[in-house]
Amino acid sequence: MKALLTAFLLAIFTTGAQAVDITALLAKAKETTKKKPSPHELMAPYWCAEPGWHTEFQLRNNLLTSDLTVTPVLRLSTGQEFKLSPVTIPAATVTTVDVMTELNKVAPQLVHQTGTYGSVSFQYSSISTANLYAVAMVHMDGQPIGYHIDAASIGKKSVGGSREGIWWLPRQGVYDYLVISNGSDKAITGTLSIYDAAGKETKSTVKLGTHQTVRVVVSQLVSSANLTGSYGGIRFSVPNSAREINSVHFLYDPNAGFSAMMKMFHFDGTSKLEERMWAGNTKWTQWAPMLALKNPDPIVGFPQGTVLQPMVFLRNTITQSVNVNVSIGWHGDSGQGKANVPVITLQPLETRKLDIGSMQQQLGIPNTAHWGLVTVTTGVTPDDVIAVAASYDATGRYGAQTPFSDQLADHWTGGLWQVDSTHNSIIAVTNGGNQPTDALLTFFYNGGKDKYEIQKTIAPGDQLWLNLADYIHNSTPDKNGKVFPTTLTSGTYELRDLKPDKTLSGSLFEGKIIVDKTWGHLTYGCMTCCGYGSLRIMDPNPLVLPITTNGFTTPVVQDNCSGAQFDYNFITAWVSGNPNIIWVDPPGGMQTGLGGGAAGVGGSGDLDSGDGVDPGFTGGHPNACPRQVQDSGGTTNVLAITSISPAFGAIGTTVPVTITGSGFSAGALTVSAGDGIVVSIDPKNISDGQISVLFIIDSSTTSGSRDVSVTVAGQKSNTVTFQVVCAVPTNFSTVSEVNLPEGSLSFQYTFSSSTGITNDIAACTVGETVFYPGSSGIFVWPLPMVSQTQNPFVRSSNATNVFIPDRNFPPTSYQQPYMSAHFSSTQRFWFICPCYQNGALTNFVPDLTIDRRVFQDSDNLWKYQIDKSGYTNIVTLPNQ
Amino acid sequence: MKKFTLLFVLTCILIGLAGSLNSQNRASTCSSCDVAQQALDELQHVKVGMTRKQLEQTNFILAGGMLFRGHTNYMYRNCQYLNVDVDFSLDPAVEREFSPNDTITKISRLYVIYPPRD
Repeated sequence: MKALLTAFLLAIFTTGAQAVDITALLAKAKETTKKKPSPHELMAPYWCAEPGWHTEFQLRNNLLTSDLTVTPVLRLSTGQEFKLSPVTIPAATVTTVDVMTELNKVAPQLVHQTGTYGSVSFQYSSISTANLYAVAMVHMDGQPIGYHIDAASIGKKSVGGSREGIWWLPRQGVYDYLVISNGSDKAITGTLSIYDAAGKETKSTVKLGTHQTVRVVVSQLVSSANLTGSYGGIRFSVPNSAREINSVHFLYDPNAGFSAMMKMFHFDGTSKLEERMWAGNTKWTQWAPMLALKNPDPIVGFPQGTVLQPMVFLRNTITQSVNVNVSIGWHGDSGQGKANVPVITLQPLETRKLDIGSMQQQLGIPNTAHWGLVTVTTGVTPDDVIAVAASYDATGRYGAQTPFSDQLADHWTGGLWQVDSTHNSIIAVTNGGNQPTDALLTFFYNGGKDKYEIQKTIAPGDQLWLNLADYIHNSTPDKNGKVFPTTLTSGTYELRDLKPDKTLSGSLFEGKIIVDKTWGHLTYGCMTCCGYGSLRIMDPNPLVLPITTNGFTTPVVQDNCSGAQFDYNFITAWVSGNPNIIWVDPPGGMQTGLGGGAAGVGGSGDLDSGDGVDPGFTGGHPNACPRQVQDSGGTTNVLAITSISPAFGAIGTTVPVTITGSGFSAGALTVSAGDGIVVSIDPKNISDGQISVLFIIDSSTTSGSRDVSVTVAGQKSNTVTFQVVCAVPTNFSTVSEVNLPEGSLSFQYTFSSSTGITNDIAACTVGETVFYPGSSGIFVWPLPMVSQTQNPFVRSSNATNVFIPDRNFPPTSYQQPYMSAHFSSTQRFWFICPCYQNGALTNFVPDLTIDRRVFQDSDNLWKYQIDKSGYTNIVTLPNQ
Repeated sequence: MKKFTLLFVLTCILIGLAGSLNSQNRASTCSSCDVAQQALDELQHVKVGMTRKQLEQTNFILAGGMLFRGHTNYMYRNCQYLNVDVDFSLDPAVEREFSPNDTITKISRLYVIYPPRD
C-alpha cells in the first residue's frame, strides 16, 4: 500500500516537474525578505566625456516593489574615482543619468577634456546583483554614432580566462578602440594577443592597476605587427583574474557616420557544456536574432535603394579545428524560411568572415527577405567559437548589428525602449528550444505602475516580431484588453518563458533594435538574463510530519532580478540527515516519518543560476545564467506520540498528563483529548519531546476510551488512548479490631479508589447505615441494657476519608435486676458515586450483623457480649 | 416512660442553651441543663486551628459508629446526647489513621441526638 502511495505521489511530482507552471509560482511570489541587502556592483568598461563624445547611463531597477539606490562611480583610465550623486530608481523603472551634467558637479575640469574616459562602477546595496540592469550609452556628438555598453558583474572568485573578440577594419578611415578595464581593487597583468584571420599571433603585456582602463587602437597594433587582412582575432588573457576584467571593442567613422560594436566574450576554461546548453539543445549554440539582410525592412527608414552587406564573423578560439554549422532563418514580405550554410571547418585560431549577402541567392534566400535569425552551432566546448554579425551598406552609413548570445533563459529584463517622432523599437523574441513555448512580453510604463502584456506561443526556431510603434499607434489591445496610451514614448520591458524546464531554464532569447530616424541609425539593445538563487531554506521549515505519514518540503527560490521569492522544487537528489527518523525519496523528495525526532532534509539540483557573483555560488559567468548545482535544506520534525501518562483519568477530576514523543515544539500546538475533556496547555510546559498538560474531565461525561492527538503546525499526530474511568471506592477491608474494656468492639476499616488515586473519588460519598429491630424511629435497647438509638442510624462523609474507625459501643448502662436479653442489628457499609449506577447507593460488602446480648455465664455472673464479623467482646456487668 | 425521659432531658438542654445565650447569670431550673451549659462553655474554648489532640483533651470524646478523619463526630463525655461535628485539615505526616496533629478547620454547633452506639 505504501509503495502504491509512493508511486502515486511520485507520478504527480514528476509530472509537475516536467511542466513548470511559472505563472502560478509567480502569482504568489513577493519580494523576498529572507535575504538581507549586501553591497553589489556592476561595471561598464567604458564611458567617455572627451571632446566630441558624451555618455548617458540607463539604470533599471529590476526589483518587484522596492526602490533601488545606485551610486555611479566614474573611474578615469588612471583609476582615479569620482563618485556621482546617488540615484534612487523606483521599482521596474529606468532612470537615465547624463554623465556630463553629473561630472560637471564633481569635476568640471574634466568635462570635454582629452583623457576623460574610463570605466564606471555602479554600486548599490540590494539582495542580488541582478536587481540592477545598467547600460552606458556612449555617443559621438552630432553623429549617428553610438554604442550600447552593458555593465556586468565583477567576479569575486578569481579564475583564469580571457576576453575574446574579433577585430574588423572594413575600410580606410575607420577608427577603432579596444578598451580593457580592471574592475578589481588589485593590479592585474594580462597578455593581449592580436591574430590575423589565419591565427597568426602578435602579443604584448598589458598592466592594469586598480580600477584602471587601457584603451588601444587595434588597427595600429595590426599595422605595427605587420599583420594583414581586414579582420582577425583579439584575446586578452589573464592568468587568475579574468572575471574582474571587462572589455569592449568598437569602430567608428565620423566621415561616413559609421559605427559598429564588435562584441567581446568571456572565455572561462572551466565552463562546462552541460551548464550552458538549454531547452533540449545538445550542442553549443549561439543565436543572433535580427540580422538585417540585403534588402532592409522599410520600417527601419533607410533611404530607398539601400543595399546592405550582411556578414557574420566566426572565430575559433581554441587550438583545434572546429566544424561550424550556420543556419539562417529568414523572413520578409514573401514569407519565411530557413537556409543552411555548408559546414565550415575553422582551423585553430582562425577567423572567418561569411558574406551572407553574397550567399543569399545561393542559399535560396529571396530578395524580399529582410531579417535573418542566425544560428551557429558547434559541438566541442562553450566559447570555442565566437561570432559577431554586422550588416551595413557599402558606405557604412546605414546598417545594424545583432549580437550573438548562447543564452536561452526563462526571464530576461530589458532596458529602455523608445517610440516617438524620431525613434521606434523593434523587438524579436526567439524560441531557441525544440518545443513550442509561451512567451510573455511585459512592457512597463508610467513609472512602472502600468503594464502591457503580449503573450504568444512560439514554435521551435520561430520568432515573435514586435513593432512597438504599431502597437502604440494602432491601439492594439494586449492579452488583457488593455491598450498603450497613444502619447507613450518610452518604458522598460521584460520577457518570460512561461514553460521553463525543471531547472527553470527557458528557451527564449530576445533582440531589440532602436531606430533613430534623425540619423537613419539603428542601435541594438540587450536584455539581461536573471537566473534564480536558492535561498537555502525550505517551506515549510520545519516540516512537521506525523509519524508514518508522507510529506514534502519545497525549496524557496529567488528570482535574482526582481527579488521575487517563491517555492520551487529544483532538487533532484534528496538526502535525509537521519534515515532512521526521516526517509526521503532521493529523486522525488517525498518524506516519510519513521521515528521520533528531527532530521535535516535537503538536497541539490540544477538551477538556472544567474551571473554567479552572489554569495553561495562557486562559479558563474558575468551576465550569463549558467545552469548550476544549487542546494537547499531544512528540518523535518517527526510528530509522534509515544506514550501518555497517566493513561487514564477519573470523571470529574483534573488530571496532570504528560505526553511524550517528538516534534511538539515545531509550531503552534493543540492537544485533542476527545469528548468531555478540556485540555489546558501552558506553553511553558512544551518541549520538543514532552508536553505537560491538564486534562479537565467533565463531571457529567461518560467513561470510556478517548483518542488523544497533538496537532502541530496544522499536522495531526498519531493517537494514543486515554481511558476516562468512573472511580469508585473499592477494596473495603478490616485493618484491625480492638476489644475495649468497657465492652466495645473498635474496628478500623479502610478502602481505596478503584484508580488508586484517592482524589478521584472526591465526588463520592461513603457511609454506614445501621438497622435496629422494629420500625424506624427510636430503638430502645432491651433491659437490662439501657440505651436508645436512632433507627436506622446513618452517618456518611466524603469518600476521600479512606481510613474509618468504627466503634460498636455497649449500652449506656445496665439496669438491675439482670436478666437475659438479646438483639441484633444490621450494619451496611455503602458508597454513592455520581458516575456509578446513576448515583445509586451501592453496598461495599454484604451487610454485617451486630449481635448484642446479656446472659448469665457458667460462673453465674451476668455478662454483656457483642459479636461482629467473628470478633467477640465479653464484659461482666457491674455490681455483682 | 423512656420517651418521656428523653423529652424532659431535651427540654432542659434547649432551655439551658437559650439561657446560656441570653444571660450568663440566669439560674438554671434543671440540673441536666448545667451539663449542657458546661458543654457549651467547654466548646467555646475549642477554636479553629487547634489540633485534634487539644480537642480530645477536653470532655469531647469520639462518638460511636463510623468516624471520618476529615469530618469527625464528637460527643460530650458527661452527656452523650450532646454532639458536635468537627472538620479537620489532615496532618500530611500521617496517612492512614487519625493524627493528633490534624488541625481543626470548622466546628459545628452543639446539637442533640441519641448517643450513637452503632
